Amino acid sequence: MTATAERRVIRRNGPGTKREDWNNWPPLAFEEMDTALNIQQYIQQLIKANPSDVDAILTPPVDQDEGVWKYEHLRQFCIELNGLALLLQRECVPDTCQQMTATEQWIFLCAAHKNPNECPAIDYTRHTLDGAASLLNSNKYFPSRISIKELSISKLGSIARRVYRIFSHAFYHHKKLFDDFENETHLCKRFTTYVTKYNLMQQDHLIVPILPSQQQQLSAAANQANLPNAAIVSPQKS
Amino acid sequence: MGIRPNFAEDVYGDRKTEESDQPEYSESSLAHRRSANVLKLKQVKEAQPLIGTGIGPINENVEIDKDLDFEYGDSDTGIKEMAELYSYSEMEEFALNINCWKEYMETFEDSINPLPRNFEDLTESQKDFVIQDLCTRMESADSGIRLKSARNILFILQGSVTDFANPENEQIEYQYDKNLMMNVPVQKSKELDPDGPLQVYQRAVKNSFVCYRNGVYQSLCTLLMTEIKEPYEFLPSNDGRISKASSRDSKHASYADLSDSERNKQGPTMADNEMLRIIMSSIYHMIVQILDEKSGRGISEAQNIKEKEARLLFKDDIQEPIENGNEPLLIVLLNMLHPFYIGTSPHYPIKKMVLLIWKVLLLTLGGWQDIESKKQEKRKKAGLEIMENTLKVAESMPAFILKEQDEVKNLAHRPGTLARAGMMARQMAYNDDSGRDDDDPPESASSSSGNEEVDNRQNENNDKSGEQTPRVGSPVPVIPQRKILPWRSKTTSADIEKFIESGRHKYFNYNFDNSDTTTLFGFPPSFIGAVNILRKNRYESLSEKQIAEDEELNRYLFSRKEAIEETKTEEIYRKLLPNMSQYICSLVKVLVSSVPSNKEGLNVLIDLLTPEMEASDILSNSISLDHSTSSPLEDGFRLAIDINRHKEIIVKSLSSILLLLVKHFKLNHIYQFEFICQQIVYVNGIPLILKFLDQNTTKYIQSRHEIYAYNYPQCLYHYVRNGEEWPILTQDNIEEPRSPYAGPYFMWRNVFYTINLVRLLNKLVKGKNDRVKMLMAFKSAPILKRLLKVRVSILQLYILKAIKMQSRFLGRQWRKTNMATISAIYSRVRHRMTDDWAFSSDIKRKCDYQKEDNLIKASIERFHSRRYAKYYPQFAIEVNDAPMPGDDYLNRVDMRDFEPVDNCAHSVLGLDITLGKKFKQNYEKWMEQEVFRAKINWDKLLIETRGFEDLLLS
Repeated sequence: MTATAERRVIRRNGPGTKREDWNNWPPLAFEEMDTALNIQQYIQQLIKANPSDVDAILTPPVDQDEGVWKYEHLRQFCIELNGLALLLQRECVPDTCQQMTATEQWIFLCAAHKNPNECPAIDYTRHTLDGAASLLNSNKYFPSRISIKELSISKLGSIARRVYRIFSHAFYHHKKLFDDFENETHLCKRFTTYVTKYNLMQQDHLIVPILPSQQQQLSAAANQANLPNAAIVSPQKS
Repeated sequence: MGIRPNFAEDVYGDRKTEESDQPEYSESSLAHRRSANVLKLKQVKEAQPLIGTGIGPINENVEIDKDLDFEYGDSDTGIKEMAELYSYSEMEEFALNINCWKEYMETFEDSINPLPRNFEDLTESQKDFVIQDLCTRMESADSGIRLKSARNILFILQGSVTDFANPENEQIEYQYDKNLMMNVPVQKSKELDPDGPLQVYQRAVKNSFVCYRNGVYQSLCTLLMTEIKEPYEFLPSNDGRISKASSRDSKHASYADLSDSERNKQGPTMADNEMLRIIMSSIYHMIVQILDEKSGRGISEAQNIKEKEARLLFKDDIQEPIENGNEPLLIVLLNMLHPFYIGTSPHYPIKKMVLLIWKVLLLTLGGWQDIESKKQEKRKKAGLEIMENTLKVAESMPAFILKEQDEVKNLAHRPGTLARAGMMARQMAYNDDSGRDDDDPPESASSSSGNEEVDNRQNENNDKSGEQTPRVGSPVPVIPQRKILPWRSKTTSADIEKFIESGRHKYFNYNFDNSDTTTLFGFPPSFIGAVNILRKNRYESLSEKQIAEDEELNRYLFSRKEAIEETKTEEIYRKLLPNMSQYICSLVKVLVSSVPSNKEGLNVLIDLLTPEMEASDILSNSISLDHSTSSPLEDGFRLAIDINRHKEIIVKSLSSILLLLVKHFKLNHIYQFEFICQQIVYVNGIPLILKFLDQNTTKYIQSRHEIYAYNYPQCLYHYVRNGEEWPILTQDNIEEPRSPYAGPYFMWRNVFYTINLVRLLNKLVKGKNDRVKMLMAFKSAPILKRLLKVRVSILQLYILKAIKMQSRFLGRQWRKTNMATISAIYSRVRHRMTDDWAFSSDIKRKCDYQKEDNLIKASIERFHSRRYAKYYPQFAIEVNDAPMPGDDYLNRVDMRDFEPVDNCAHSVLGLDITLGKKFKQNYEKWMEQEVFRAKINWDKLLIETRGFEDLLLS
């Protein structure tokens, strides 16, 4: 208690909080966080400190349960992706983007329905985020945020896979918007590093060249085949 | 005798010594045609020298005289269960899968890091990548991509067989050809490793763990949901679908071309459910392979622990609702039954559906052993003693052999040999134990076959007397005669009560009004001794307890709170309940349609008929099985076997599904059990079961509807080892190799389902007189008795039980002629102490069975209303709707009488009252007439009522 000079900082955004005061409270050491949601608090604090420092954000505190760490991060991604969805809403309308595509070879079914079907890109985005949110908050699979069942951890992979398509759609079809968003939040970079680190998705499926290594690979492949994007996206022969 | 009786004779020696029953041809013309083919098969057989005839048959005969080496379990071995998933028509599709895989792997060749061609050669992370990539592809919106990736997944789950292919350069060798005077390349037929198929299967098991790790199960379920909603297109001339099919692959383009003109009259075929079959097969592969603990792979301890964990996870996973749907896989599958039944989706692959339902039920609820241990646990908890494990005791008994004398005796009763006198006739209906000729329902019997049989019998006698040299029989193993009966005797409280009552009546000619079972005042010591023994053997069943408890719960609504144990069975029951009758009806209907000679009903052959075969033709039984003069081993023959096998497998799964449900519900709550039994009985389950049992038993038990070489791992293995050629059937590979000492041949699945059906029959009938009477009405006694010839002790036990139940209705004459059966019942079936099944005769007694049935029905309704009305309001009943006989006030308490009445003016006025149409139409008129027109002198009213106000105020 003595370490914290300011007594009783309330880490809440109360009603009527001003813009400059929004989330504006001094950082707290992880050991000091004594709430049940300390991991989320810690992650959000790191992001606020410097969103571009992806590695720092993804480095778990010592003795941290890996399942919870993965879970909380994915949760955070979904929360922040809503920001991207909001931006997309302006220009990604069913008239222009009728299907969920990234590169032209792939159109995806929206798995959020009882019987999956084809949705326009923006609906796919919304449905997938909603689906991910309800799955991540489901009492059945994730009853606790302190320990997570093995069975439920296996669900993270498929959520990541589906959520990633939002990035790739934005990157290939709404480049400017994507760049603006990325410059501000570094979300895609963080996501790519995250799924690579925890092996939730395979390298070849990460089709947005955002990490330096990916960009190198891309240019190497382009040199080799004289075809941009040829190696990144496994070509599908029809 | 099925498909290959004569052929079998050559291999297994003289059948007549093997079976007391004679080969008999079923009456359907299809069967006759089949048997016509069989002769050709025999010719082929004879054309080639037989090897080892000198030794083989003798050994056979020595060994043949013993019980069937049958082990009654929850299912067959994993590898056999897998083989039964596929029909032989689907063999071609294995090749499609292989091609899809090759095509898919080619796409990686020009990438920067090419992948090795064989799945096994991939590193673990590469495997993960490939599978995840396939999962991604399965989410594609393009159905062609989905199909191909699903094929790839299936290929991996089938054991990625291309890994077993020979390196290409070894496959061709050169041979000198005399005609051409040169060396010609010849495909070298590779040495087939006898363990090869097993290795394929073990690889498949391994791969399924890799797949599960990468979330294939959920992807498959999602895909299943996608495909289920695809409607079946009835319109035949739809170019769209055909072009869709042809875009899928070239094979199907040819199907489409061929069948384009005929499409109009065809029902659904394999082409209509391609995708569904692939998905369901993949899920089935995962379920069987992941849960197969006895695959016999040599794996390390650490791996083993890991797999165990994965297995448990997988079991949980299957029972969870599938992603983005509210229902678990089981319910999804069951819900597919109804559209199939009513014909809106006739293309659903029914065999795979029922197989999957069966497996999912089995893994969710547990098999026979689980039932037994759960029952013991429950009894222990309820403070009841534990009885013998029925299956174990039954298994340990040697089968009994029905004496030949009975047969001989019954020859005398055949028509013509004995004139029956009027009164005798009815008895005769039951006393002919082998009465398949005169007593069977007329449609399945013909008089000619009866004569034939008599002839055969005489021939047999001739054979025995002269032509065959007597062989030295093996010493019959001496089974020590048991001194005690295998089961402890039982009595129930009701029995004891009845016994005491009748004693009172006998000694004192007096009955207590409220039956008192405690006091034995005034009885002679011998009677008291008897009662004491009865009490000592009193067996209280869980059901009795549950019934008593249920009554209390209904009666004391306020003071008793029901503790519902949240078991898996309970969960499933709750989910099944609203549509239970629908499910049972569909299941039974499918069962009806799987009767071997049945041509009506549902088309259950959808996952077997290719578009080239005209479904309608096969069903109308006019398929020409004779045209294949070149080789009887070819198509027609294969198809006939395939159809029979297909039906047998469906029956096997269905019998098991029904029995599992019935057994588990019984254990969970007696009224759940009564409900499902009623549903089965209402859709004529009892005669249907009897119809299945009423076939030529020996032929059925020993059916040879199996082509070993075409079965799943074998044919795939052969395909890749022999330069992509399917195995050619010869007499050597058509059957599974058996050791000459293996004992009599039998078909596991048929014995299995026969047992299941008899058990189910017992469960349905037990303790319900009206249903026992039904057994009588359908003349089950001769049917059951014929089944006793099968030397499997478990089967015999259940048959004897079924006969025992109806013995009191069969009459003395029947018992007299069937003493062997009666004594078998005595020595093998549990005794109920006061039950005089062996001597009493109730033929004429009439009883109000309707009342019994209604009583149960009312109890079920109350049970449902109490327990499930909060989930499904349609089950709520008005208490007065279902008066229980002998009810008193307490049983008629209506909970709604105790709801608080709303008498607050605000809330009553605040209620949204919907006004009727009539009111709205007429209220203006009413106002006009009653209010506006009526002249009320308000002053006068006030003056006249002045006194009241004062009165109220004072």
